[in-house]
Amino acid sequence: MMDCAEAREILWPPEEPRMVDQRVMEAREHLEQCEGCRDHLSLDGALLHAFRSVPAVRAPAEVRERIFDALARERTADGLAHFPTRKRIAQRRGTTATLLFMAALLVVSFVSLWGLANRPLQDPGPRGSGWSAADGDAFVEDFLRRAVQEEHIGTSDPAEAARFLTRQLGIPLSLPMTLPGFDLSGVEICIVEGVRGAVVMYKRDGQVLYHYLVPRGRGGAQEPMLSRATPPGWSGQPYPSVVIWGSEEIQQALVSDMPPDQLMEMAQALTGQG
Amino acid sequence: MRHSFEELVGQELDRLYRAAFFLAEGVPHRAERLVTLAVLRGFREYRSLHGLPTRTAHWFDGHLAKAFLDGHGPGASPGFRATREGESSKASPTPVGALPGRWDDRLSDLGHEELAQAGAALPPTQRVAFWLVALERRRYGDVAEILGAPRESVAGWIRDAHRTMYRALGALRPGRLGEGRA
Repeated sequence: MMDCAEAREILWPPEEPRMVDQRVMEAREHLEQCEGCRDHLSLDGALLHAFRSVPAVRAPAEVRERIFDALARERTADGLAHFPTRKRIAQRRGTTATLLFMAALLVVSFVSLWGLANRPLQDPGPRGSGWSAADGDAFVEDFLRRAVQEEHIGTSDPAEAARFLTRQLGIPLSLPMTLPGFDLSGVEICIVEGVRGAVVMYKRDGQVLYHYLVPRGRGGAQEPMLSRATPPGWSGQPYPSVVIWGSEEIQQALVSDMPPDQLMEMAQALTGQG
Repeated sequence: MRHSFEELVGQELDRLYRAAFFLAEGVPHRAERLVTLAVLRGFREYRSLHGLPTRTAHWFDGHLAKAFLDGHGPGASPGFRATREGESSKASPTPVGALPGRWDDRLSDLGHEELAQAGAALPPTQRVAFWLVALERRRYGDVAEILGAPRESVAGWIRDAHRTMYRALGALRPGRLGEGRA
């Protein structure tokens, strides 16, 4: 006769349907004759009913943040020790005016990036004729991004910004994040063609400069090049300058309203640093 | 779609925190510490393997279990606690008795703190086995693999843990559990 441990294992979990084969029949036969096993499954049923009524607990936001911080420190433990620590800007969220300005420039930047790149950052896929059942990953992407629950960090500390980037993009980055004449002001998450990337923001006397980093799974290295086209429908205001370049893993771009030749110098400085 | 390690942690974090809360007897900072340890252990293995295993939840559970058991010293190691079915029954000779369905109602408004408090009555290995089998509904074979113990030992731990949990919940709710029992 089958022993208790084997019978319980075969019948576990008891609430799930299973194919009835010879072993299951033997286990059930054991159960009919074994009061101990019947008691065990009965007790499990009572406890299971109770456990399923326990309200779900979620990891608190601050706990999530500390765990992802620890993970980012683990990733960057070797790569950032040499960065000087600078005073962190007091708040994670900037002033309303600053955010509004940044949001406006972000919109401009996205338009320019999408419209001016000589080739798309990622194959846009079969969405031209509408969303198909296979396109759910775009929503999953956003869902996963929200699961991390942190989309913006205001900081002047390159090490902290690097940890945020590493944590958010899941790629170890060794960017110094210093630009001549500019101060680091923060990092923000962006979505470009369904790919989660980040924008490193710099400031200088009211002038802003955005450094885009978008992971990509293919493509060779690309030297910095100035985009000269103007997106359809653009009129009136000065058009921001855009310089695009990339490595095998990351598509990068600098966007600013500064003169194109100066922006190119910045890109070359970043390329030389990275 | 290729997921980063951080994305998978984001997906698993609530479940891991719930488990850690139970294992850590409902002490939040200990639960956080456990999850952090489990995630970092997982990350180090992920980095050395250059990839993620296919059964992600099972894999993270293994790291959480090991982080918890490591924190309880060698005495908590499954190898030291492995017992056979007959042996473990000697440790808890008091029969629990048959359970009428009405007991369900008495347990229906459990809170997660009560659950974790009751779990504190379990020895470390039994607590891990109980979490995986009774709460996560994992198969004995999976739990044996995570704990590195024979399946027979898992079965013994589970039986004892069920009884201990029932008694512990009864102690937390005097006058509620057991009333009206046949």
